[in-house]
Amino acid sequence: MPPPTGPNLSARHASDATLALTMATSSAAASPASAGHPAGHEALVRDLQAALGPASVLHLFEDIIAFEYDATIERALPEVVVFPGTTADVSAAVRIAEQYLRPVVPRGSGSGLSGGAVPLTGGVLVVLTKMNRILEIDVANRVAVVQPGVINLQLQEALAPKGLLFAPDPSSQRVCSIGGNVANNSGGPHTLAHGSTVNHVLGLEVVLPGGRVARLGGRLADTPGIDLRGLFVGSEGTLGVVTEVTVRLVRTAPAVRTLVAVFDSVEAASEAVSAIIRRGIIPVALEMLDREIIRLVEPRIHAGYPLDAGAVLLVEVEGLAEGVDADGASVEEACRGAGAREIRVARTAGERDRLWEARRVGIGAIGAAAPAFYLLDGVVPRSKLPEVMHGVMETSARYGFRVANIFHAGDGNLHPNLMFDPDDEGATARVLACAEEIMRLCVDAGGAVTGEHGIGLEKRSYLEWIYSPADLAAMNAVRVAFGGAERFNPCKMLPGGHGCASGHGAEALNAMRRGSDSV
Amino acid sequence: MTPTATDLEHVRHALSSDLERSPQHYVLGGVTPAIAFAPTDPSEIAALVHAADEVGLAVAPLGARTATAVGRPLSRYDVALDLRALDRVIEYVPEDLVVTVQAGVTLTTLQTTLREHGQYLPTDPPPGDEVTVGGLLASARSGAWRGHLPAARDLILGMAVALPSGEVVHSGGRVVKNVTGFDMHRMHTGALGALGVIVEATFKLTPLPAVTRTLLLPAGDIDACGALARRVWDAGLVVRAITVLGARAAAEAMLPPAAAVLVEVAGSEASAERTLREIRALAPAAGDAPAEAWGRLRRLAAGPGATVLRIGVPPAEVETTVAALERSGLAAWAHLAAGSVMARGDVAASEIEALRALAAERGGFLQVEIASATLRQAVDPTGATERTLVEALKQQFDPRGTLNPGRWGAGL
Amino acid sequence: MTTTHEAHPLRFVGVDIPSKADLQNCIHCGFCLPSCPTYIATGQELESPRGRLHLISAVVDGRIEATERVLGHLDLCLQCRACETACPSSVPYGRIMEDARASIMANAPAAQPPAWRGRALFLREVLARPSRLRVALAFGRLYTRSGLQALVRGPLGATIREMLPPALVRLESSAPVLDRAPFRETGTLAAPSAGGSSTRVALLLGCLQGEMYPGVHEATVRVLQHVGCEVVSPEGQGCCGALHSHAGDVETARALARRNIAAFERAGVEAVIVNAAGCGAAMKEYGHLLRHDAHWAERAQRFSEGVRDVLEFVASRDFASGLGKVERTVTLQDACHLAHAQRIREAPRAILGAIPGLRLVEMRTPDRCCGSAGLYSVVQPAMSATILEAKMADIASTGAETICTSNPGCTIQIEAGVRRAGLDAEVCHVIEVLDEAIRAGR
Repeated sequence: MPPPTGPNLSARHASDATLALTMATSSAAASPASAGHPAGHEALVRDLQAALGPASVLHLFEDIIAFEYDATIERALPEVVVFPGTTADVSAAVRIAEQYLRPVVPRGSGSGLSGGAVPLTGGVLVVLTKMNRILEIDVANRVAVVQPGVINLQLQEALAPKGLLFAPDPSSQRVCSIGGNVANNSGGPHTLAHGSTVNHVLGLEVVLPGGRVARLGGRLADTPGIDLRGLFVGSEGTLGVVTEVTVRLVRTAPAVRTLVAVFDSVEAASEAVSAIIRRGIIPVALEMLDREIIRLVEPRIHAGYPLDAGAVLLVEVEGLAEGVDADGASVEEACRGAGAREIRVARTAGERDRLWEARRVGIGAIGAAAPAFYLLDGVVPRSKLPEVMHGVMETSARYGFRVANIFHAGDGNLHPNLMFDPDDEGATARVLACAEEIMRLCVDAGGAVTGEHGIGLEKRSYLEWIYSPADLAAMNAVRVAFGGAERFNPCKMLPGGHGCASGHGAEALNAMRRGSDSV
Repeated sequence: MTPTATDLEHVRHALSSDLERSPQHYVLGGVTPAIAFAPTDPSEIAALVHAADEVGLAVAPLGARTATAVGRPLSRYDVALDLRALDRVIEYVPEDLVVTVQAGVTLTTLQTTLREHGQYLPTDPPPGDEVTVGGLLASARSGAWRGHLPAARDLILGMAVALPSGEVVHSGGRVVKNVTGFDMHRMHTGALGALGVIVEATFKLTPLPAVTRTLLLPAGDIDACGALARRVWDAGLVVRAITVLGARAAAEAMLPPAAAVLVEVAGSEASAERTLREIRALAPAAGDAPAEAWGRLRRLAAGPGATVLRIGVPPAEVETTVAALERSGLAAWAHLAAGSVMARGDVAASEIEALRALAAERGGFLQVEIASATLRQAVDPTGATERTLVEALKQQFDPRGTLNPGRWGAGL
Repeated sequence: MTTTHEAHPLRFVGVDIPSKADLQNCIHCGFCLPSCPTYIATGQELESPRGRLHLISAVVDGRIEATERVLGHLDLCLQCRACETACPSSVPYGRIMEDARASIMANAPAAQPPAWRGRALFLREVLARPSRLRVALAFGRLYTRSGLQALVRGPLGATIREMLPPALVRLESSAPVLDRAPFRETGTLAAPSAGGSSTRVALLLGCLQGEMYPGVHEATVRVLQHVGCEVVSPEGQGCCGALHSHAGDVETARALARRNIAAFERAGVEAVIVNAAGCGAAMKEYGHLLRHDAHWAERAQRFSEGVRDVLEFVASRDFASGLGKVERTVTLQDACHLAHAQRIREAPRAILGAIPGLRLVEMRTPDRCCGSAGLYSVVQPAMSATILEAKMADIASTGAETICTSNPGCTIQIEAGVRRAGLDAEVCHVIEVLDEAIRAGR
């Protein structure tokens, strides 16, 4: 089957915010069902309605407008939005989309941080929020089977009474779906000890081109054959639609200790990270919050973070009580050795929860404090953390931006947030330049351009900093093997592609928080 | 079809002559290749594979040759590609708990290097640490630690692979958390070298435990052993392995010939001490066992001279599976957390199909891990798996069937 | 943008159009989604706070018009403001939604959506007018006292219930039991204590609380006296206007606010005590409501600063001495406008926790809306019933004999839920339980 191309499809490409707005207004002015849509729109809608039921299909402009975003400020309108209730529904939607040469874009809660669920070339947006049942929790064998729309926290809450947990715990866990975790190979604070989502997915049911339903992996750690499940996790919806996920569960540790080490500077806190690891201890979580973020968050949550700290490390060790005592003491020593001026240990579950709340609301607090901010997601080798963090602080200061850092220090996974006012003359361009310099610092230190948020739309052109054309061609070969780059989530993950913008400037401009609404 | 002299010349032309080896040293399943090389550099490998690809010669990448009886027998074998000369540790930063090594490095060498810094790569594949990193990844066989510690496919952070196109391509990187691009390295892990030749790999490492102790827990019959093993597993202790042994398997591992649970405690002093206490409370008859028992089990899982099956079942059903296998005359033992039941002995093709059906009923699988070429022809070693996608991937990465042809079955 | 919609080209007009500054606070993170009862019930972005904010933004920007579909999504919002608690970016959702509704109702009456116009009319002409409200409630009281209500709801009522349309039966089952004389007293309700050290406070009688749940006022007065207060009830006070604001009839809300401010200013008190969470939330926002009114803005702000929910006020004073035992299992339903709008969660728990013998068993998500939401249960009966059903399941699993609330709307709704679910439990205000403990301690 030829890829779905044509002037109409590429005209729907709305990477440029101004273009999106222009298109949107013109569609609003016209009769929503006809104008502005590629050929066959009415028939496509009719067939989808017949297959999934009219209540599960949205196509009016005033409805689909609420599906043009995720948690970035990327915007692009789908042509049709469907809400499958079953795998058969997904299969039918994929088949019909293919018949009308439309791409299929899967979407969960729409909380992604890379534009992954934004349907850049229109097409059929498959929203999986109604496939939200936990199908099975097998306590004895530590396995759960869930539908993709199950919310991460919903699963955790169901598991907690059974003494089990699903290890990936993104900071957005109260909203993000397991399907989204699979698509992005999500991490979270506890990735340090437990690994990312890919290490916890045993099996997948997926819908592939032609609506074919395939099962990858199984219910056990290793299954025979080529590891297609490992390849599919983290493929950002570009290979197919996940309709069922079998996950590995971890037993809740008998004891846990959460402590906060207070430092005078980000650099000192960074040194402490390596000092802890040098002692042969891998905490389950090792997070850093800098002064800027503490000042934004502490007044909201009253967790007891000192407002005059340069940075704090939030460290959690777990295991048997005896081991936790020993490891906790060792972490304290390491921190004091690196210059920690104070160490606080959470005494109750409530205190622990409040300390973690800072991590969960941190990014949002920046949103409340600055007219706009640009959230980066880079990774560096842990040992390079002090020098790279110094570079991050120096670079943002040189550009004149406030920067707030709240990140997974133990993994070397940075999240600098550059705060700016898009109304300031030239601010946007300077933020771009500053962000690019920071990402270069990461890459030059032997790091990567995304640790957990994904490539999506925002970082496609950064890939070329890391991979050769041959590397990227090999990755593209996987897409081709799975049925071609235009079928599922076109223009995502890999640079280029038909009808996809690839200039980094244009994309990063769109990656700016806010701004587009007021263009 | 015998390769022509012209074809061989074409391949020879790609590499320096001092890298050529005598084919007599690379006989596989009675087949002597037409030509053999031991390159020292990834680009040489890419050049060799590409040259072979151009003239349609089949290449078999080889390391310690401990897993040549895994998968289907090769359908063609013209060029032996010995990877053992790729034996450098490229980069090791202990502070980052990350190491990058070439594919020919053996696990023994790697672990020795890492141990100096109190670290290790937590994997215990059959038959032992003589496996090369390339073989470890390509066959992706796990041992007793699987399920307690992350396995090779969880620890792989990045990889370089030589393709028949003549290119060396990279994926992932040297950081412990990375979602930059497709995880190509996961695709190659367990692919039996059919999609590319692994030439370099980067791993996430683990600190060595301060204390390790091996305990043998006799518990009566196999059912009681299974139940005891799960109690130990559920107690949240610092253990690195819990293996349920059938009586035959125990005997072959030179342990007392009775069903038992073999446990490896691994952790900090304080945690290990508490763990030993708790295990003794759960199993008063527990006693120390020689750590070598683990090495013996690893070797038993590798053949040679016997058929080895790996049967995946839910952990709750390992003991019934072990019992059934031992009743049919096999030595069987089960790594509890991974639900991996290993069986060794003589087994006919028809029995394998019956066992496979049983495993499938329980949501599991049966893999013929080691067997004679005849048996691996008669029975599909991996069973029914997603074939359409594997064919499509093969078509993309090795369209002419240059790499390990036939190992995933006819046409692959 | 200039377009003409075929029928009613509705846009936001007037001074209350939601501000871009408010809307831009939203970073689209989606944290509000799982807190929203209608999103939970539908799994639909369009029925989520983020979706509604996006629709409102689109209307403000002229990308879409406020069509019947769009208004339908705004209408399905309970205005429970649970999303504000969940929001890490401090988006003032409640204010944006009220502003949006006000800017729809600022269109010419003929252009207003008929249902919205009707709702506003009812609120303006009945709720805001005590005489008419009392007549309406008198019929209710008659319905209860005549025994007709008991008949319809009893075993013999089955035939009657079958004859009536199901929607009416459901509506009937929502109606409260009005079996007590209303509380309408003004003047001094509790005299100053002899030592002269008492704090002088005023009590808001409100439109419905005194009429439907006079016991709550009686308990409030006794508790306030217990914590050393002189309590007055100023003449001239009236409905707080909360429901009018929620429905977009902001002008009526403003008129009511001015009347209340004037009445309570004359009373010369240290605090205005409110025992209906919805009213307290609204009165704490009078400052914002009258921000455009040069004459009233400052007075309103000052007034708002003196408003206290009764639980907030009592918990801040020495209330726990001399309490007697109340041997009972209690669960607490957080009123949305207490927990989310006023951010008061600890006070009711502190009070219940201090009562000897009382066992507080928390339900799952006690701060999730019960589906009452002012007129919501009447206007959106299906969604309201769905939400109530989930709430009753959570309540039932606590095994509580007493369900505590802090708002009359919640009490009506949960009483209806108790009847429908056939639970053996009473519903009352937290302050009534404290009052019981105080009396038991004498």
